[in-house]
Amino acid sequence: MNAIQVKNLHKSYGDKAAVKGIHFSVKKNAFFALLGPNGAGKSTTIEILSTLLEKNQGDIAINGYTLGQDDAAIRQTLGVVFQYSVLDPSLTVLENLKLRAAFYHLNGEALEERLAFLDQLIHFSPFQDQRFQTLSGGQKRKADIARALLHNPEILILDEPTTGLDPKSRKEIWQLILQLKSISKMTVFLTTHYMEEVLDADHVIILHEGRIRAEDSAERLRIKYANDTLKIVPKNDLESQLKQANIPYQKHNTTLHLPIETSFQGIDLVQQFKDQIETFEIVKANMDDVFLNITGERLEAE
Amino acid sequence: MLTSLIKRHLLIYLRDRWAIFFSFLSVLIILGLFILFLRNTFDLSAPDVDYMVYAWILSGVLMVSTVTVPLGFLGTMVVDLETKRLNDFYVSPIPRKTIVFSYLIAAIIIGTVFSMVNFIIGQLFLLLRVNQTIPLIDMIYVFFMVILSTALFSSLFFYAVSYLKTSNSHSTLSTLVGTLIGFLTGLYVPIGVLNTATRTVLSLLPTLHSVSAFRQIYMRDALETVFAGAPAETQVHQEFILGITLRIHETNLSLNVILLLVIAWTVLFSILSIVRIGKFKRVS
Repeated sequence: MNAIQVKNLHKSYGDKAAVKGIHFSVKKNAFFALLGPNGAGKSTTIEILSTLLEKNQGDIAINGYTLGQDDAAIRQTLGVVFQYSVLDPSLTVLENLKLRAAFYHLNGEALEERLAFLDQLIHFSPFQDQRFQTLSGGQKRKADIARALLHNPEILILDEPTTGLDPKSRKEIWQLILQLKSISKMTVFLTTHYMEEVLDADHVIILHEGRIRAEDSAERLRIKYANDTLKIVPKNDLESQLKQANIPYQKHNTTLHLPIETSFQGIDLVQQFKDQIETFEIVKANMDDVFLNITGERLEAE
Repeated sequence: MLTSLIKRHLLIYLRDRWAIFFSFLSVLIILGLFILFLRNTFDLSAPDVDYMVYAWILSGVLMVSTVTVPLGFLGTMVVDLETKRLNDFYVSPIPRKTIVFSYLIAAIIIGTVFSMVNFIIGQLFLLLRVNQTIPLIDMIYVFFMVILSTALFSSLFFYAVSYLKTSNSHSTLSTLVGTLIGFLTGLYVPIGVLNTATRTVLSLLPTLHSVSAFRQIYMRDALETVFAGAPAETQVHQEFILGITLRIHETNLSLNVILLLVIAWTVLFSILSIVRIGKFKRVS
């Protein structure tokens, strides 16, 4: 059974369509990433999945429950980390967590055990008695994640969990998410606009202007949608020889960039023109190139 | 779940000292004006008149706190909506009605508790100035009146505030109410000296109904003392001037009728609020 099944999802705000008929499914235990620039429809999709926003059209099943009918059951199985912090600024971390635990009828010894378990994972105890508003960005995020995991959800939804954090905290939070994924059977559903985060996901959807533009594992998307590049610093008149041989290239200052299918093709080219080459390197394609090739736009990170 | 939500709302309000201060600002302003100016309009030298005048101003500010404290508290609800903190409750398996209802209940609790503190301080003041408090039985009636009036204005403002989306609009509403409340209750200018048209309009509002009930209960003993042996017309006239009696179409309404009016307002706004709660389905 799929953890999440979305069929023909539509959502408009007034006459502005945010999500235009998307289909996808997320397998149980998957590490799923929804990638797209601001305004692609990521947050709208997340808000609909987490029962906050009503859809205009479409069928959605989460853990076998129908969205719109079994919302209470769905809420019990979901943990949501919002892009913005939702904990109370004037309460301490522990007060915040204990209050929210009551929403899931978690109290007494069971609550203490759960908090101890989460602390082992997330290490929030050093700042658990501080008011939420006094925490650093990274600490706030940790508290948000602890809150989302209170009731041991089957699906963890993270809406741009590392956006707005300093580089050190970003790395730390990302390591935490990877660790969570590796030790639990949770399905992780993530939105991001950071390419390097997508590389760890085993299922990626590229969302652009409310539509799905590509879907696969990060590695397969890279192979399918982006070429590796052979970068050459030419010695003699390499350009005319390339033109003669009808080999496409782009000129960047003194360097020539040749798109190649595989590294071996690059080696063959180097062999062929080795007298005209000063030096060379083969550069693997990255997800930025994938995004650029699919949408025709650069994915802008912050 | 309801109790944890209510506990949470109360804790957040109690940690916000400025919100508490602003909830009492109108009370402080009315008391300040009274001490500086309004007091001089009364002749406090006659025997027991000071008891009556203090009871009049104290019952007035007590009623005002049953209006402004719930309104101030309900700012929490607007902030939770504005900052999207409500979304965290909405993704939890709590029925939406429970979430929204918790703000109404918390408003009634905080309004009652703070107004009772206000009442106790008022009694201590009476004890200091005129060497007595109001009788115990009247204190009990006042307590019930505090609950009733707080319930009325909690439901009224819950209904009004549920339409607000930003804490700015809530501040504007609070300022408006805080400014008007002294007039609406006849504390700045006694009701009896207003022209008939203004008086008629004010007599139709729940603010005057509630404050009139408060005065009749709170001042019962003081009025009996002051007007003992005085002609009945004098007392009737004074009670009219001070807005103790509620006069509609030249007839004075009895305390029971006024209480029924207050209850009717409470029921009306409770129903409106409940209908409104039903419409709080999905917010984003």
